[in-house]
Amino acid sequence: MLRVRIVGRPQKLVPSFCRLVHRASASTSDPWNSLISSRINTNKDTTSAEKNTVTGSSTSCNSSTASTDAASSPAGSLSGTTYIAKDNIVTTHEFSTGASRILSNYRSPFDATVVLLLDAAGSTLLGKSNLDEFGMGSSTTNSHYGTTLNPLYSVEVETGKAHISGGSSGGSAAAVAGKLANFALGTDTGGSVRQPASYCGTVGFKPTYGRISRWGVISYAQTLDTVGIISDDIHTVEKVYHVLDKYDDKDPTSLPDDIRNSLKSKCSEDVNSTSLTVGVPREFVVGDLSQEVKEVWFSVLSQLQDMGHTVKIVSVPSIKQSLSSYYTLATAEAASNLSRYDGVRYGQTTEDLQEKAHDLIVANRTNGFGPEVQRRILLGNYTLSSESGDHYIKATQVREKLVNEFNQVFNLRHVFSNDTNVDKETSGRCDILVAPTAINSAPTLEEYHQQNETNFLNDYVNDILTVPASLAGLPTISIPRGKHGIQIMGQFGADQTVLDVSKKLMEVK
Amino acid sequence: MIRINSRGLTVSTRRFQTLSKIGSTLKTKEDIRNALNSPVWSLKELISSNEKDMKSVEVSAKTINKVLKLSAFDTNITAEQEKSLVSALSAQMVFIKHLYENDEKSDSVVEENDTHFRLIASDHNPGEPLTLKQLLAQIEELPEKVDPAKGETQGSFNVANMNPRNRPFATIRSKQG
Repeated sequence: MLRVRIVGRPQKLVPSFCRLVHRASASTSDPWNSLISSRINTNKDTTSAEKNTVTGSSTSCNSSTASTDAASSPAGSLSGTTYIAKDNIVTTHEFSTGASRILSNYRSPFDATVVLLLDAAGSTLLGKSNLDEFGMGSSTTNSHYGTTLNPLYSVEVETGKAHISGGSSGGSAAAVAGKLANFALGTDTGGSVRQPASYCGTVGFKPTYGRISRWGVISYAQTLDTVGIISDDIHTVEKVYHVLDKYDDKDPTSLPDDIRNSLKSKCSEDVNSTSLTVGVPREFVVGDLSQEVKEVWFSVLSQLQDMGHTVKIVSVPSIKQSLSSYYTLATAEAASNLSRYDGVRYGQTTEDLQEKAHDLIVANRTNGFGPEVQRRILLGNYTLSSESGDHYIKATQVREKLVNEFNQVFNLRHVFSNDTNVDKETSGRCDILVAPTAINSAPTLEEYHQQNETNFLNDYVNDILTVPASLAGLPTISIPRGKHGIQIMGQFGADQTVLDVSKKLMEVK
Repeated sequence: MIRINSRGLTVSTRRFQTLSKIGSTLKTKEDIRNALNSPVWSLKELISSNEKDMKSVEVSAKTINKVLKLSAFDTNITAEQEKSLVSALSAQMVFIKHLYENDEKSDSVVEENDTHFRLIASDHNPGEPLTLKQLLAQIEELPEKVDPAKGETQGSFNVANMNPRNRPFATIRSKQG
């Protein structure tokens, strides 16, 4: 039976993790023991483990406390720190599910490069966090393991006061907001690190596309997927970024060392952090922004002005077409990437005997993927089919146009640019762009479902503020302002500029 | 941007009419407030898939069947599921139509599809072409470059370990009679 639904209520709500987070941060003096032990218990029970937002790591969770583990971890710049990885980042010691039924029994034969780098730097992995299945969603409600609620709000689902954590890295953001670990890894395809960080009141950093290795990251849309870092401490985010900012020959999209070195010298020359030009893209001034979001945006721009920086209005017209481009590329790439899951060599396979090999694959895929993933695969295959037109190519052209428009706005020449005309006159251009992360704070579960029952595109268009930086691969951070987030965007490769400005802004919060 | 054609790989830069611009400086707090209170568009424009637009997209039962097959999903769906699917594909097409705004021609079929913009360094700054000698030397070096982490050595990936909850083999029953 095909399960295609335009709007899907979560199959089951699993507030237990969030209740635990909420209780831990509110009243328990040592929340770690109870949380870790509960994870160990659920990990032993593989059926109920599937209901948890965090699955335990057998390597790091079998001692009495996390701090004992962290203290005995190898020396390095992250020695003594703990972290949680989004469950689309593969590890050898536990299942790597992508929050999908089809991978619910999958154990990777290798560790992701990011996990190995953090291990070498002395950080301890505590567990894996929930996500929208394969990263497809903005709410962490599209998961085989249930919904992750937002620990900043009440988690009483019955009262209608529970709020979504955002997504798709909602489990990572909720875990950080609940003080479970020093930081968490997420992945950001169209805003999946920044938006949940904003909803959960934490910092979420999406570095430049290609900076951090994607080896061992379960692909959703490979031209956009970027590993990101979530923490409530900007200095921790920066330290983790420096550990992960390495070329990896296993990842063909990794930025080569010569480009990294060239960026290092350019960024240190070009940016005078005491007198920056800050751009406000007028296409981000949409009528849908809440009054609170506008107030927060105003307050941050005012702070930057008071710090001596120049604030300018800029125009990047292709931002208006960015969502159409993004959802064409992302669904097409998803249809291709997810075609590998057939449940034959690995992954969930049906117990029912099938007459043909083809029937087995159809049964596994139909039962293995959730409704939103099925819809995106179907949309992707339709978009790529001859019936609909050559939209994928058109979407890459809009993407290229957007990159060129950003190049006209930024001071720093794009490291890939070989068009000298673009860079003749750079005076008066911007060092950073500033915009809100989301058009409003986290909605309640009820509001979220009501909105999407009208039209599933409602969920897609809310990504308007985060998708342009994803399409252009720009380093972008979301820093918290209460229950909202503000994005600082830099030119491709100017990650350090983005971090430096964020540190200053967080000092004067 | 990398272009693949009959003459091999070439790098080219597409010329766009660039419309981005740096506007005025927001000198005072009042200027900032005014700028943020003057919206230039609304997201509703993107989802205002009015009936006329939706109806202009034709998605037949045959197309639905084809897309389901392409996706390796069960084609045995109810009429209600089919209706939902037609509606989803139509909404996606109305959404995608915004890609063609500001275009002189609205034809969605392109004559050339050998260009593909990606944010990959070698697409924009390809290195020197390899000589035959270098290529052969690379092939010679391959045996030393195999990586167990990529499953490139015998036994480095064990299927049974990857599926600890599953029986290691799927069984397909042959049709009786």
